Amino acid sequence: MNNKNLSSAQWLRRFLALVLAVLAILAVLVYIIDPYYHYRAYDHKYKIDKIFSVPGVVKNYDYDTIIIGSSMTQNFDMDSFRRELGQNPVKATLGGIDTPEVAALLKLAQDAGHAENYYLCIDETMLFGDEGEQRFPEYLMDNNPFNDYRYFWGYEAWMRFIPLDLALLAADKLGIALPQRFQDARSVDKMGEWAYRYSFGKEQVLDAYANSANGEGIQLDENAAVEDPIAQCDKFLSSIDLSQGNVVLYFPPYSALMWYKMQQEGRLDNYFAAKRYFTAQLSAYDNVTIYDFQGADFTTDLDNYKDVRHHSPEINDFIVHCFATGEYRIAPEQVVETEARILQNIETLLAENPEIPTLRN
Amino acid sequence: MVFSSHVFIFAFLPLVLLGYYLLPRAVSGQRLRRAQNLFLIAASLFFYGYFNVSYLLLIAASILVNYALARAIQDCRQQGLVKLCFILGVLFNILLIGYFKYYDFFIENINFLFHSNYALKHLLLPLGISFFTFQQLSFLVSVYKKEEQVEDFINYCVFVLFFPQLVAGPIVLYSEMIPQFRDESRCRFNGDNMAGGIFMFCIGLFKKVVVADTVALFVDNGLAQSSLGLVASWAVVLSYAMQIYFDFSGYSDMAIGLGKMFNIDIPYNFLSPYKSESFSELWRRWHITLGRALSTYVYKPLGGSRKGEFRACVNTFITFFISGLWHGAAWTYVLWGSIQGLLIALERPLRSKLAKIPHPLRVFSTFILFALLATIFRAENFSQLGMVFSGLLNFSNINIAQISALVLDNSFDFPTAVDIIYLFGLLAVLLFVVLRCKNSKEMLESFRCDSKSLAFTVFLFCFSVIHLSRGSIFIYFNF
Repeated sequence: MNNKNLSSAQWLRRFLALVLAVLAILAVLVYIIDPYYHYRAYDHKYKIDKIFSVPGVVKNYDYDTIIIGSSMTQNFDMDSFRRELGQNPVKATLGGIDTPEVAALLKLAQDAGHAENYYLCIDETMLFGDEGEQRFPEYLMDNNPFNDYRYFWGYEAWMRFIPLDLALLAADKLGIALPQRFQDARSVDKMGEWAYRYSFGKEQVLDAYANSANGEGIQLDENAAVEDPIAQCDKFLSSIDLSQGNVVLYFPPYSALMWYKMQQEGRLDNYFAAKRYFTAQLSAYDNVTIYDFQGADFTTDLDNYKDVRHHSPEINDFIVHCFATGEYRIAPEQVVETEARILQNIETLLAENPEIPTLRN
Repeated sequence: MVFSSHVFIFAFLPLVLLGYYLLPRAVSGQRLRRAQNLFLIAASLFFYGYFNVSYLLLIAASILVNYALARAIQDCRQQGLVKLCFILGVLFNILLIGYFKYYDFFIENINFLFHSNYALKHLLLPLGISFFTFQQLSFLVSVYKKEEQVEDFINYCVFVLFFPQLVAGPIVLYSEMIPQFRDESRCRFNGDNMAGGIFMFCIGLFKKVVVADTVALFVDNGLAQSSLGLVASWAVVLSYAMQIYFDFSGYSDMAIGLGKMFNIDIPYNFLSPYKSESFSELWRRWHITLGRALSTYVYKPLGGSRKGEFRACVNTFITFFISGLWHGAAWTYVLWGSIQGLLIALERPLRSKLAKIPHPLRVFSTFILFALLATIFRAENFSQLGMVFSGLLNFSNINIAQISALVLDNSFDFPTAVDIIYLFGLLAVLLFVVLRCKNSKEMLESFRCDSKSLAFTVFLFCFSVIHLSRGSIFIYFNF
């Protein structure tokens, strides 16, 4: 290439023109490729990311049922919803999801107007946990076109997703068979799924429980009890609109070991109070049904879990089956019955597993 | 507002440049320079207040008190009063920075030593407080020593507030800035300066958002591990050496580039420090304006090298001890500064022996030692530091697969071999750049308006723009 000398005025004019041209081309390419499904959604096209793709899928995918929740919901088999309930589902999930994120996803789904059925997993942290930050990027969550520049010239879009997405598309075109995990990574049904990466069993659960250094959050935390769980519940309830569609709220089945841990931390009663208050507020809604799996017998069988909290995909299938049959459905006032069962399950667990140690500071 | 943000690059900077260079159409003669300085003050206050509006009160109070005292020192006839004003000025600045930066550190140590339980304040450190306090303190000293003349308030404000150097330096001197802010020949648009400024700004932007923020991921991931193997420990140490250099020199390059856009020359702060063959040379090439200020206001008043070799060594040590404390209110910073001081002090008597070591070996060992010390600078506490340092010699736990944990950015799990090639390939390229390539000053000096520099600058800019959304803050904003 000839290195042509330019006057400073020419240099500056060309700099401006070239920068504008390059940025415009980048923007158009992002709009056309749309790696986050921000403008249109497909199945099995691009790598799906839990943070960046979920908002676009919620806005643009074709569904009538949406499941919103934490890692507890990420292993739901969408086919089980189709088979058992005849619904056309999509998962909008995020590991460790917090109340602002649940509220934001619910509103996004309600504004998108696709869903008739809303399934919300109510984790114990939502009722009295710390409120975290909303992790979904604002420019993907709103309808403001003026902040889409963050998408058009986005680091994640250009440096992480587009190269990978184009490589995956090229592999498809060239007929290169990719490993199954590459296929799964592009499946809307499998969005967020994590079960394939872990093994489940009593040994893993006890290891996670006993080894406080492994970062699984099972250290005894005596400061975890919240002073005013009612205020937290009110805050959460005021942030979500439960009046639209058929709403199913369910309390997920943590292992009995999780309840034992909370008991040792002195926050089990605190949680019960919060849950009682929360469910009582739900009586105001005719369209809300509640399922409570927290006192289920299978929670004492640690082979169903990978750690104190997370259950196997088979339990997810069972939960969907219950949604179809009505088993474990409760009226708001029945929530106290679960409390007795949880306490009984703790005793059963300790009797059947005398090796379970007491946690210490 | 940070330089590496959309709002700065696409809104604030173009509007300020436009306003600045449109002023000559509305104002002429001697009033033009004054109007432009006032405009720069307003823009800089907006820039600073964008972080946190309450900071504005603090910086305004700092400027008003320092200016009033400087005037009093200059105008007062009574020597006793002059001295009193000077002492008040020094105390005011030390107390200001002491309160915001060192209060909790001081109380923590009191609590530790005396098993007391005084409450910490957890104050939000006002951005750039170390820089603008140091700059004003140095000005007071110069006025007291009759080396500077206090002029009108507007010039003083623009000297402190000029946004390119406000929050993270370079630490400029009144004597090198004020003549430029007075110079009417610098009022009008200069195409060569603008092109050179854009070129320099783009180099700095690229260094910060592309290079420093990429290797920062390796460091953050590494320090988040519960233990580090041999390979990962070295990867963390080398990555942080690259991060801190590209981050801070990138910021300085942007500041210099921005200054140039306004026809203002800001002094260079970095001159290929990793090419140095000794620590004393490295500190003449690294954060040059801080070294200059510390030399003038700490080392020389202590006696410098005038009182013999031993005192010179002691003075060097004290200067770097203070430098460590200036960088941050934690014992890790003090340790970092003290070891730097000790090494430089030791280099003095060993000069002739060190000179016999082959040049490449000296450069290599200086770099590695500096990288190790930088880890002290980065570590949040001594246990984190212990984790990295114990890994460096842990030949029983090489654990090369841990590199995948350092590279992980939650997008996709690539095979470990790809992660290793990526991380060490990138570090090798960066090492080549810092040891063999031209530095920013040399690049700016050889800058010509031609199609090659145009293509290069457009690439740097556009590639940097797509890294802006990754978002991070400059390391030196914390000081």
